[in-house]
Amino acid sequence: MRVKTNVVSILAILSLLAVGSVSAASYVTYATTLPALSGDKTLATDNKANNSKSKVENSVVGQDYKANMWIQQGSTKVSATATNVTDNDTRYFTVDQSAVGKKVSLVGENATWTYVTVDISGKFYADTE
Amino acid sequence: MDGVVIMYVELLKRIKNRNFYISVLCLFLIVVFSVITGLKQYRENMDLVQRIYSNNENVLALVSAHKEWVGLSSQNFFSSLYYFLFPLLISIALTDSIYSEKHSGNISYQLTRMSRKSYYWKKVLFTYMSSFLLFIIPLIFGIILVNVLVDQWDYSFYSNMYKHLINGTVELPDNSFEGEKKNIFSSLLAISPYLYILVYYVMGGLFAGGYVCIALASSLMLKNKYFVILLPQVIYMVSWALFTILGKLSWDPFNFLDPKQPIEGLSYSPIVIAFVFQVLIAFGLYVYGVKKNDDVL
Repeated sequence: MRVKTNVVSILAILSLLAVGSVSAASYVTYATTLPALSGDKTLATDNKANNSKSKVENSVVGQDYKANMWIQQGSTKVSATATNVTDNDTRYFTVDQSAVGKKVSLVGENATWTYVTVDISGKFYADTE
Repeated sequence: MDGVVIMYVELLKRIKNRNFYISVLCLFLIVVFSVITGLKQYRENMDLVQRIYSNNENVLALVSAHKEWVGLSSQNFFSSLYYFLFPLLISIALTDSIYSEKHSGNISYQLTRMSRKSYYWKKVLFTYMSSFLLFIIPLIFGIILVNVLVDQWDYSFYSNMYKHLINGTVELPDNSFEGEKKNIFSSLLAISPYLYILVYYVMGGLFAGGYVCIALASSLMLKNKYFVILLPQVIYMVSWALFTILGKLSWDPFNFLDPKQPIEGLSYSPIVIAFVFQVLIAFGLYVYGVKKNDDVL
C-alpha cells in the first residue's frame, strides 16, 4: 500500500513538472499581414519568464517575399534582427537580460518595398525552457 | 580622339544644364541620408549585440559596417529610396538632350558639322555611359563615406566568417544570422564584400543606362518633354506592379537589383534575360526613332 502511494506521488510530481515545462515553452500564434512599403508590425506579444532563447517558427510569408524580424520590449529592441525569414523557417533569438519578467513583442516587416500587404503566420515562443 | 572630344563637348552641355545639378544633388543627398541612418543603426546594433552576445567574436564579425553601404543597408528608408527612384533621378539629367536640341534648332547646326550616324551614335553612347556613372558614383561615394566614418576599410574578417557560415563550420549562439546567406553571388561575398557590391552596382548601372536610353529613344517620337523624363520611372514602376501581380518577384528589376536579395527564388537567368530584353528594346526604339527623324536636314 505504501509502495503504491509512493508511485502515485512520484507520478503526480512528474506530471506537475511536465505541465510546468510545457507551460514554460508556451507559444503565441500569429496570422496577419505585413503592411505595404516595408512598414513594421507587432506580430505577437508574450511574457518573457526566463533567460532562455526566444524562438519563432514561421510557417508562411506570402508569395516569394521574405520578412525581417526582431524582438522588442516596449519600444526598445532587445534582440538582433533576423533578416530574410521565409516559409517554414525557425529562428532562435538571444534576448537581452533586461527583458526577463516583462512583456516582449515579436515585430516583423517585409524585407523589400511592396505596394501589397503580405500574409505572414507562425508561432512565437518567448521562452524555450 | 574625335570621339573623346565629342563626349567632352556633350559633357559640357550637360554641365550647363540646371537639371543635371538637380539630379546629382538628389542622388548624393539620398546617399548621405542613407549613410547617416545606416551608421546610427549600426552603432545601436553593435551596442546591443555586444551586450547580449557578451562580445562573441563570431557574432561581432557578422555585424559589419559594410552592411550599411547603400543597397545593403536593411531597415533603411533612404537606401531603398535610392533603388526606388534612380530611373527618374538619372533621367532628369540626361534624357532631354536630343529633345532640347531638336526644339532649339541646335540639331540642324550639329548635323552640318557631323554625320547623322555620328550625331545619334554619340548621343546614345554618351547617355548610356553617363547614366551608368550617375548611378554608380554616388554609391561609391557612399562606400567611402561609411568606411571613413567608421574608420574601417578591411572587411576580410566578415568574408572569412561568411565562408564559415555558408559551410556550416562556425558556432553561433543562435541562428538569427541565417538570413546573411545569399542565394546568388554568394561566392563573391565569401571573397570580399567589395567584390559583391561592385557586381551589384555595375548591374544597377547597366540597367540605369538601359532605362534612360529607352527614354532617349522615345524623345525622338514623343512631343511631351515631361513624359519623356518620367518614362524610365514609369517603366520601372509598371514592371514592379506587373511582376507583383503575376507573382514573379524574381523577374522584377527592383527586386533583383537589390544587393540585400530580399525575396526568394532569385537566379541569374531572369537578370540576363531582362538585361538583353531591355537593350533590344532601347536599340530597336532608337533605330526606329532615328529613321522617323530622317526629315531633320
